[in-house]
Amino acid sequence: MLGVPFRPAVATGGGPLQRRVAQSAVARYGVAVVSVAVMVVLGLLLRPIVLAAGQLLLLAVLVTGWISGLRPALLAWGLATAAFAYHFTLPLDSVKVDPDQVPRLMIFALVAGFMATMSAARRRAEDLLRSARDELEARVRERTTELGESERRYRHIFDSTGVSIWEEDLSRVKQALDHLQARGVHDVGDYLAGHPEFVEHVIALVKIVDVNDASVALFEAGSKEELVVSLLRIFVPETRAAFRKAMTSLAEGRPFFQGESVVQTLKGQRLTVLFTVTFPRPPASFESVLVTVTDITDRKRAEYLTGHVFETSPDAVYIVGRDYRYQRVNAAFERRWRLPAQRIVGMRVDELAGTEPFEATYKPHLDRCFAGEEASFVGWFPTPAGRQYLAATYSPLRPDSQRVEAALAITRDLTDHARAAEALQQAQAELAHMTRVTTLGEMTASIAHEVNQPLAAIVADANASLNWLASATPDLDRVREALAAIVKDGHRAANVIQRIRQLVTRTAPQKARLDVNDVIRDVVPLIATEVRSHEVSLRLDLAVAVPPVVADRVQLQQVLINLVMNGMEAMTSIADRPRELVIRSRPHEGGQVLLAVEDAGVGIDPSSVSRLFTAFFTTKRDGMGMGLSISRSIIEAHGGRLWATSNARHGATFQFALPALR
Amino acid sequence: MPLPAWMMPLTEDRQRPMAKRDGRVVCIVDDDASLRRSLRNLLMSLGFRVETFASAEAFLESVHPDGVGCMVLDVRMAGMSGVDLLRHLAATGSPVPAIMLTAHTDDETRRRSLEAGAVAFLEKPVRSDALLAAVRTALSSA
Repeated sequence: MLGVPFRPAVATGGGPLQRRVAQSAVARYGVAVVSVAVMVVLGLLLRPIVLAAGQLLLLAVLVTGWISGLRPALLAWGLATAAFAYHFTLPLDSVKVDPDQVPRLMIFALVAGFMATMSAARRRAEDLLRSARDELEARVRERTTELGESERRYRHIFDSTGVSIWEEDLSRVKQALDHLQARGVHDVGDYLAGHPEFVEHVIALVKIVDVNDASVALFEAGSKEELVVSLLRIFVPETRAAFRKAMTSLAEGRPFFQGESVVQTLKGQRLTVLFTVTFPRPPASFESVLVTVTDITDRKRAEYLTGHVFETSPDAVYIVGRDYRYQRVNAAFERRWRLPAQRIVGMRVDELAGTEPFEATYKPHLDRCFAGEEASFVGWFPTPAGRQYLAATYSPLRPDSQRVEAALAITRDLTDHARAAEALQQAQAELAHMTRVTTLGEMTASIAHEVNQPLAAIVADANASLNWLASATPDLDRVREALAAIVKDGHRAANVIQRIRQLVTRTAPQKARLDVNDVIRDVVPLIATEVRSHEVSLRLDLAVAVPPVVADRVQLQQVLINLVMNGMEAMTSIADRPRELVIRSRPHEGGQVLLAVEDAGVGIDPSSVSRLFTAFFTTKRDGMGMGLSISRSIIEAHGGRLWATSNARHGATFQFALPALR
Repeated sequence: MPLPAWMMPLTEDRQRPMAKRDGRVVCIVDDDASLRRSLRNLLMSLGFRVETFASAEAFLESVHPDGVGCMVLDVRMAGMSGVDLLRHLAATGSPVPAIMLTAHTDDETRRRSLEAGAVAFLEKPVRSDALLAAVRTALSSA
């Protein structure tokens, strides 16, 4: 990479003596004094042998100039010249100088002065050089630190970024492509498409210099070394198309290439990736080209799924803008309205769905959705395919901002379900009717008795009245009394017949506001005889104030008759205790009304408790096993619940709870 | 539309005052108040002395069977049934001639009633002439 070698800083400056001396003026001038003194002593020792030993003083000047610079050198020059004049010119050891010695002294002074300036100049030059070198070294150090920092930052980005980065040497690739163009190939893309073997050759020319940690992780490699071997390890056939495009961009001198492709990990996992290549500008080197690889597999999958769900959903999915115009619709929506999407997009909802449904239903719900709420509705709506029962949900769409820009609508065609539900309801009503008729059939003897009793009384009273009227002195008071009784008994018989007719007449269930106590009182006359014949004592335990319910009167009567008949039959074999049947009404928890039938019979067999309410389950010899099953479905169709519990001592309680009208 | 024959009044008996009839009491035992009252009216209009009881138990509690001319009994009643009452009286050595009334005739009940000593078995609504004949028979058999 950028590997600028780092040279560690070394200690700079002259010799240790010079550096020490340079620090103090006293030392610098001391050098002059000491060196002159030393040379004087040395010269004096040698003087008996040779008078020229005085010239050793030149050395003192030279040394001082070299060590301490110009001014101490001038001092040394003065001292040396004085010492030379005193000790080494005739007469010796005298301040006097022979006239013939003056030239010698002058030559000495001149030479010493020259040496002082030369030595000092050399010293200064050395100093300048040294400081220049020091400065250079400092700069190099600084630059090296900067480069190191830059390199470190780059490394950090390279290694710690989540994006896979590949450093590739494309110089040989560039050469090969240049060569190709030099041979006269103008359309490199075309050429590459037609020469797969050349593409393979170019792939082999790519040298992977380095990859980052994110690449190792993305491509499921154990280490960088595993990954840098060859591009072929991550290429699948589809990758070559993108590679050809990238190479074409390179050959055409584009600065940048970006493309999507499929690659594989070292473990063979296919990835959809977005990769970018930034090419150096010629004549820059192609030795270090960075390629980034971003894994967009999940995004592509999500995009695919979203698009796929949108287009293939059996539900009509569409988007409506705040202007109530369709922005996008799917295939199911096209089918529903028998129009192509191009025609629908841009239309207002009322233009397609009709003004009346728009104003009554679509618009209010769209407005709620635009206000930020989710809105749902169901209903019958006209479509070109006829009336359809549609269930719709509008969800607010806020693509960028908090403001709802559009509504996403999903509508499901529930026409078939609605028709099936209607048919089911009808079938249930018919079944309920059938079982009502069956129950009444089982009660025929009791009902006949119930009608017969008042009729018998009427006949007897009428005969008695005729007898009285035939006497010589008719007792008209008695006759009047008997006639009043006839009227009363006539009503009583008519009443029973009317109630039976209600139960037998086949009418669609009609829900109305009801008092359950009235329902109980309606049923009592119908079951009175049955109660007597089963030698059962019936007790009504009715709450004074029960909230009203909304229910079908006949169906509730049917359920109650079923429960009463069951309760009485459960007591048929009971001889050791009173056969008491209690019908109870109570306000119930959760705003409900409870109606319970409590018997003192044999109770519920634990083994059959789970099957009690299933159709065709019966413990009776001649029972159909429909009563409790029908009863439960009737109660559930009213939004209520029917269940049975065992009593603490004897028998069982069958009860149902219905939502009270608020 | 003319009334059916069974609903026609008994003209031949109408003239006979109650005092001229048997002085003994006809007891009606029926748990249906309307029927009790209307049968009482009918028998009184035919000149009989009548007492009514709402149950077999009430009859046993308040009347000594020896003073009773005959009974008109509902077969099916809450508590002790008509047949049970008949059997009870026979078992205690004081049988009373009885006319059984029923809403619907079944052979088994008829057989059991006749075995227990009933003199007649009539279906409701009871024909006036049939009741008169039965009461007469019962009273004469007592």
